[in-house]
Amino acid sequence: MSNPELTPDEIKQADHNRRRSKLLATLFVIPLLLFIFVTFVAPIGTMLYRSFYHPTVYELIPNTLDALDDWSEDGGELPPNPTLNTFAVELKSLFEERLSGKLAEEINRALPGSSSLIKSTARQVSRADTAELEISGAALLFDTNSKWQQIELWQAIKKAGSVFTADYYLTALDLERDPSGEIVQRGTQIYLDLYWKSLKIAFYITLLTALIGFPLAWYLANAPTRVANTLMIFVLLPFWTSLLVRTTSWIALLQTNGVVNSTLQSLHIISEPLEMMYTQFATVIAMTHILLPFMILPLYSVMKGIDPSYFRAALSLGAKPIPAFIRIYLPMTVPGFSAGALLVFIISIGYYITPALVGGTEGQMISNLIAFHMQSSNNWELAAALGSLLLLLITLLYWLYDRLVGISNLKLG
Amino acid sequence: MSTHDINDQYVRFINVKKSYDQRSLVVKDFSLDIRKGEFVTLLGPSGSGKTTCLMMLAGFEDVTSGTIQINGKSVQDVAPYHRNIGMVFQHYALFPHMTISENLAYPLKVRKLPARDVKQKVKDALALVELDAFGGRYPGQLSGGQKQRVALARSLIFEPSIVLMDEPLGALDKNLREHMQYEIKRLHEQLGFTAIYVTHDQTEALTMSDRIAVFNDGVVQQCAPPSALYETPANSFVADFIGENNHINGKVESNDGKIAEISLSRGDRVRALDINCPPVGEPCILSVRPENLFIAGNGREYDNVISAEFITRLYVGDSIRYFFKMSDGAELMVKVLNDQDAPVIEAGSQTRLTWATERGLALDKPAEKNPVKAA
Repeated sequence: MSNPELTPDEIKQADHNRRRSKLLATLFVIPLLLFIFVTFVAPIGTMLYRSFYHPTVYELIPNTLDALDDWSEDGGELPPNPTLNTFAVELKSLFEERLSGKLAEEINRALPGSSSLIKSTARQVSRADTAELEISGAALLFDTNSKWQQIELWQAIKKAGSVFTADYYLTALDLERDPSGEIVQRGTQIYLDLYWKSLKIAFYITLLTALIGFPLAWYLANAPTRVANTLMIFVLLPFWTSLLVRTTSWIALLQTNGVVNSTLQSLHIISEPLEMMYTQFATVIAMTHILLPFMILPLYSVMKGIDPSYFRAALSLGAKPIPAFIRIYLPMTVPGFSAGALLVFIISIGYYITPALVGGTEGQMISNLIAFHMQSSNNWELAAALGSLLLLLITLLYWLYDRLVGISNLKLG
Repeated sequence: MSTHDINDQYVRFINVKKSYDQRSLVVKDFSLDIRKGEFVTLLGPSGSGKTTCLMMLAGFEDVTSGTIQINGKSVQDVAPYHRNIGMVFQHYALFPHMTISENLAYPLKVRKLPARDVKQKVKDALALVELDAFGGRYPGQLSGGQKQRVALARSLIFEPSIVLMDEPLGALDKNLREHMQYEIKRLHEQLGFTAIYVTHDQTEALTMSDRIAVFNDGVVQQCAPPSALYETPANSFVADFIGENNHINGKVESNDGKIAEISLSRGDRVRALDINCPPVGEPCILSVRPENLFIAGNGREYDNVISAEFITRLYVGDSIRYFFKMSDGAELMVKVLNDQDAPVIEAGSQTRLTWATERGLALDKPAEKNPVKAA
């Protein structure tokens, strides 16, 4: 460095001091970084990886798939006999390890109807001697079932065996590959509809929380401290009760013989009970209740910071109260409103427990299907793909928000 | 009523009382007539009710009892947005999401002025406060003094006949404050609006106002032009609040209605103007301004002389403050111009202090907040 003011020794000392304070700062953050890595980055990374990394089939029949690598699936010919022999041997060992069912399930996903074929063939080849299979496994396969002579079956096996695949994303977007490999739309739209519905439900919830939360936040911000503090406890009360309890209480309220219906009936407002449970209405109303504090708190903290003299200034300048409110007060609440809206929207779009309990089929959201693929259909890869798309969607919304409002305008408290 | 009367009583507070909790009064029986075009300052310590009076006039607070009139008409039932009163707030209250031009145009737009007029008036207003180039900026990009000028321009742009200012310079540093005082004065003289100004800064009040109403505890102690306020304060609160003052405890010996004779603790007898002197025999306060109290010597000696012990002197720059202690413990301060005659006194030495009779004021003893019981 050519700094005439400082001697090299002084520069060295200054650098040393700076490095030291940097190191100290890093040391303070390291526990948090580790925690975030273990609980956030690693699971999400695994999920993203899993959505296109699928080694199950390869782990079951590695030798066959290695051999199939040399086989051209477009050549119109069956794989060579040695390959088929290898497959027969591996199928036998899978049967002995009770893993042939898993293989059948995996291949069945690529070519529906092949599950029973594989299971029955596995039973057949298991009776043969391994040495014998090494020589004439192919013939045995053909004897067991003529389907083994179909090229499509082997194409399906090769496809199911590829370790990296985009198929789950295609499925998650309601697309599929036709036999020629072109990407086409699937007959029934499941996932796109559900994404759209989740967006709609999240939008309704955000709108409702804003409509209910805005006047309340305004009142809280302008009430005397004692009143405001008491009311604040009521706003925070939901945070202190279990989510499950709150959701279950909505079941008690909304069900056919629930509180709402019986009250309305006893008042002779309705004659037949309303079907509110297991509908989209139930999901929206219960989630609005749960997410309301997330809207009120940022709004409140922003409104609390708005000097009442702004509104007075507008009045003294000749504006009537309502125009002054709209033109002067409302724009000042944007940071709190957008923070609340963003929070509520993002939380609600991926919400699981409430729609699962009160939503029925009509009130299902995308996360319920993700859970279904995690727990029931055991298709973790598809669940991961759906989850990744949800993450992408939220990131997209966040980006859009940044473009329209600006993240720097966000104020959470 | 004749025109003369209307102009002399352009703004009237008539027996105005204000209570927030329906029990204690914040403003007690406030009456004040303000001439058209006058610059009146409400001065007082915080919590004395001066801002409340301003807010009642602006229409942001209800009047508990009494009447406020503007131009002969009661404004009780006129909404704040119809009163046509300009207001400058302490923290400017410039709308942060609007540019300076938009801020200035706002009162014109709500009055539905044609766009061309709005543009011209905004341009004129910016020129008036010498901020021509700043129209496109946001308040956040301006310095404190610039913001204050914009706030001033905004309160004037719709040509209100009355402008209220609530400690408008409170957030500025000293140099800027002095500059802005001059600026406000200039605009007041140029435009001729009636100004009601609230401050707790007495220097500000003295330099700017035509008249000052001194508030304490919800009551106007004195309302007079600055010179009268400074030279002949009506009571000991005003004497103490405006400028610096020496307070000497004494007892009234005699009073001819103009000059009172007062005996001090050590038996010294002095004479002072009867301003608010209690009856003969009662304790009183003798008040002398530091610049009217002199160190005797060099041929300088007036009617009244006392002696006190020198403690220390404080070097201020253009002046030096000498501190003395009387035998009863009361401290006295003498302000001496820092010229070649400024004396050097040895610490602890007895010094003679002197002042002219017409410069000493005999005042009431202020009610003690916590009277000390005699042992």
